[in-house]
Amino acid sequence: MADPLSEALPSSIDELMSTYPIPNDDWLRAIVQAERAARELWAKDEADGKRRATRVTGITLAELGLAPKP
Amino acid sequence: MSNSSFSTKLPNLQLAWDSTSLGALKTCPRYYQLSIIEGYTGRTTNVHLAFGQHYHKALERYDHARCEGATFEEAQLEAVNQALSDTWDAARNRPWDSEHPNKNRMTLVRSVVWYLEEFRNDPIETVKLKSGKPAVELSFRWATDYSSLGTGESFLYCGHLDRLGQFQGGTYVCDRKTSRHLVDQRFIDGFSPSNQFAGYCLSANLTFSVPVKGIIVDGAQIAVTFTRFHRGLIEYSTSQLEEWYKGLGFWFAQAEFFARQAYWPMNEMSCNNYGGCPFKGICSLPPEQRQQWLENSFTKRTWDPLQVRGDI
Repeated sequence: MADPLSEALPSSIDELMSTYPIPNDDWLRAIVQAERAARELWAKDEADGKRRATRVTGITLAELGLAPKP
Repeated sequence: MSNSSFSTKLPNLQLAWDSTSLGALKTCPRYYQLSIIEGYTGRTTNVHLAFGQHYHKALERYDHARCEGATFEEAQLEAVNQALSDTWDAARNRPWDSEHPNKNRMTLVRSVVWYLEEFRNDPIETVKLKSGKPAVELSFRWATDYSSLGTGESFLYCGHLDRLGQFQGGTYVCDRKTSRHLVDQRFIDGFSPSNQFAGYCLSANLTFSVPVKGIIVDGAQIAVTFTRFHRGLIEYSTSQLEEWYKGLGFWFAQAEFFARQAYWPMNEMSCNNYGGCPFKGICSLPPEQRQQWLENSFTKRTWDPLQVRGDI
């Protein structure tokens, strides 16, 4: 079951970052969490010798575990 | 346009210098004339300068918040909010569109978050000044021992430091740099010797009464899909700083010589450095055609080290 924070958020980081003013700190926290998760993904790919082709901003919050999958 | 950093007695003589204007003079006297004295700049905003300013401002917000007692998480949110706020184009009601794949609002926010994660347990501690205030975002301005031979006015040196930090028993000026290119030890080595950093070290020693050992550079490679960091340390001995200061006097005398002649010659050996001088096209024209092209292709701004921050 999705938590209330996730339900209040849009589906992608692109959408989160295309909004201003930021409605509340939950949005900021989501951006930070998404970028942290993206950094971990990138670091793992680096360690595995892979080069990540997709832009992090194209990743959905669901992929990062921050929102329920549609 | 009036410029408070210039002499009123000899109008083309700059008295208050920063690393940008000094660097311009050292690069090419003609470049210095066009960009600093006459203030010509490109019609479009320099995306690299804008990105660097946004990046610095967001991380300064973090430094301040931490010094005011905020937790890491709270300060990180403030930094992200600052970056988002600064890159919102209120007039068009849309995000800042840099039209650059590496340096834009998305990569800015990512770089700020990743930087703070990378140095979450930073071994560098911010210095506390004698006033009790944290040594972040420090502006400096000091009178050199040099003065104009003709007017008697003193030359000043000014600028801004990101932070003074304590690391392994020594005090360092901490500076952040962004680049599209690979950031590694070779990138750091590119700052030694450095007009900007030698000036920072000497200025920190003189204005904040802190014996500074050198510079810590946090380089950030801003790629389309990631940001990679490399921290490097550059030490400066007293004799190196004395050498830079001696050179400073030489360049002030040169600036006065040029101002008296009202002539700033080209240094053609610099035209193709760092991707090419913005005025290369102008200088390639016959002299009688240049003014018209300058006015058509560039706009004007006032470069006043006593007013603006430009040494990103």
